[in-house]
Amino acid sequence: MTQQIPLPLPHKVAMSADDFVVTSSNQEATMWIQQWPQWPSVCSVIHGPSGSGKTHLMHMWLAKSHGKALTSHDLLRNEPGALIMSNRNIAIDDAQQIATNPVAEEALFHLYNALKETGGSLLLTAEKPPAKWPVQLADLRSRLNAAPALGIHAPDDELLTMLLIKQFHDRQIDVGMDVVTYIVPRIERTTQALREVVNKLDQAALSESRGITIALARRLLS
Amino acid sequence: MKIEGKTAEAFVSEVSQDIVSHTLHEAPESWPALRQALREHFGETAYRRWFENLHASGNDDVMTLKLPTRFMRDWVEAHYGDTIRTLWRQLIRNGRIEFGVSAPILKKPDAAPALNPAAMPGMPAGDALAAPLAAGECDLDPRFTFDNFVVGKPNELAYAAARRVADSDTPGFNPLFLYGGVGLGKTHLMHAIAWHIRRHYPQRRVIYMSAEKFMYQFVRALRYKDTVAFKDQFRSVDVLMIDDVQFIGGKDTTQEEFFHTFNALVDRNRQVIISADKSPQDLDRMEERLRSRLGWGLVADLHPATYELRLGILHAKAEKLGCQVPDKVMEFLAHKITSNVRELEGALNRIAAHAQLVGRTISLEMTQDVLADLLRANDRRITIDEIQKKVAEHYNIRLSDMHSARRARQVARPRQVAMYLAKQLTPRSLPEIGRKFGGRDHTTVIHAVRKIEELSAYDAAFKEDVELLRRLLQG
Repeated sequence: MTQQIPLPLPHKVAMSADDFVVTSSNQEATMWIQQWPQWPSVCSVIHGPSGSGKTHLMHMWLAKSHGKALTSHDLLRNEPGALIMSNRNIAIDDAQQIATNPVAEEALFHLYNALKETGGSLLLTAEKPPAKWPVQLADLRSRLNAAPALGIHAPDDELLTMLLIKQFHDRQIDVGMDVVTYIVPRIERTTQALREVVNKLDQAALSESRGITIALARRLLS
Repeated sequence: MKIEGKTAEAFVSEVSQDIVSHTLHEAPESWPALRQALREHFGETAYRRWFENLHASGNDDVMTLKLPTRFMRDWVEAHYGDTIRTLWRQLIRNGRIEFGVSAPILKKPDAAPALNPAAMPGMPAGDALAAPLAAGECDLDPRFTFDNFVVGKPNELAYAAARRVADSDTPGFNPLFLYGGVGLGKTHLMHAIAWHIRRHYPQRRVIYMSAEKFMYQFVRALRYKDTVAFKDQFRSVDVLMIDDVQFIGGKDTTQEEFFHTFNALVDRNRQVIISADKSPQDLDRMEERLRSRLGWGLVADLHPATYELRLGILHAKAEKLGCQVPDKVMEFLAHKITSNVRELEGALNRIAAHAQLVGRTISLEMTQDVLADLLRANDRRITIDEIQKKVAEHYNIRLSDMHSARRARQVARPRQVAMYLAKQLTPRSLPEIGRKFGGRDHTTVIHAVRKIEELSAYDAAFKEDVELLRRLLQG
């Protein structure tokens, strides 16, 4: 049998609010985002494992607050005053990267102060809560530790099921519910594992030109 | 806590309603009948997963079913649409169904109910962006007043000096130099001075700025060759306050300019107030002449808060927030969060905000939950081996019974608890968990998890026991 070599076609990941799946694992973080602009302090932090939807929540907040996403690289290159000239609401994804880089730490500290003065908001996302970042600058550390930190918990079964379906859906793969319920209890309960499984199934289905069935899932998971 | 006359519970339940479902009072007449039909046709599990959150609107002739997300709409329409339509036509001849998205997440900011600003201070008020860093005077934090400053042994000297400066029109000591570790109240005292002067001596001009902002403005003035305007803003000032002066350490031109500004003001008998994280002689990368000048006036330090002061601060803060915090929680916080006042207040803020957000009353358990990231020394991964060991110890059974085939209740129940915790606390797959428990099947794990959930639902003591184990394991 000849094997088809699948072209690596990138799939579009849906990132709007309509596409966000709310369950008990991420409900608090979602509600926090919804509550803006009634946040009690300048800075809020959303933390959770990789692939748990932090970036998605951040984009939802950016859409709502007309804010701007910065990278730690932007922090290093620009003056905080210049950064907030046009934007009073700023989000930084994967913000724990700034820890231990003295220049970036100081830049974030001044950005925080500048936003506080202008009445802006700062949303940081990271895998771990700020208390676990190795921040060297004490002034920054105490500000981050005082910030509300909302955790996204490990996905529950409900969320895993939904996410699995969404992953298939993002790739425009049509699978039966039987396949989904077969996979969920048999994989490691992380979004990472989930993504890998979908990837593997997608590849196999493409290269063997067949649909995704329980039989295929069983073979790939064993 | 009240939000514009509504209780927090009412508010939160509204918000969660928004997320998961909608009220049904406007639903078409025959919608309940269709729901029943869906439940019978697809079974309880599928019903709960897909149809429980359906929001029906319109009328029996044309009904719109809205789902919380776009993805769910596509999915339900593609997989269940035909069946739903068929079922509907059995109820309403020629009845049509359309699918939509209820899109509750993105609300306009102004549509959200406003929190009581007194209960949640520090909110951005109005559009404060106008000329963000151009003007010298920044907005002062409304919370940072003398009234809100809790005085105790560690900060009484700094407090007394600040009060004195705020009330005298000729400088008794110049500069007033406040120093101490982070989050101990330096900025609070400076803002308090500014508030006090603005209120009682409105003719006196006060400028408060961070050293960073001083530097930013100066560098910009240099770049645009406009240093005259930069210098001018300080000329007519009566009180100049520069916060966190350590940040101009190593910035030579800024230091030079700051030195001149400083001298000019002191020579004209204007009050200068400086804060830093260290005493003048300990400031790093600061010119010697500036260091010595900074130490000429009164140098007052703020020490870390004692337990009593921390407790006092918490009480004052809770009263300001207008929330009920049990004494046990206050004592716990004062005992645990010793690093600085900012983090202490931040912790209380977080608990209050959380209580309001999810409608939980503030208790010790809730506090430990919300602040887990601050309180827990490490968040190493919990292993299944550890869980088995702890649970075996707790129920006083042998560790080997975790893997054994024995089915006696006294070992089977602890084993189920351990499986349940393994599922809750580790990301391991169910087959893997099963293997760790003497090669059991993943369905056995599912059964154990259900069993423990069932027991927890009606046996409060048992539930507490499992919770205790979870806490123990999480450290």
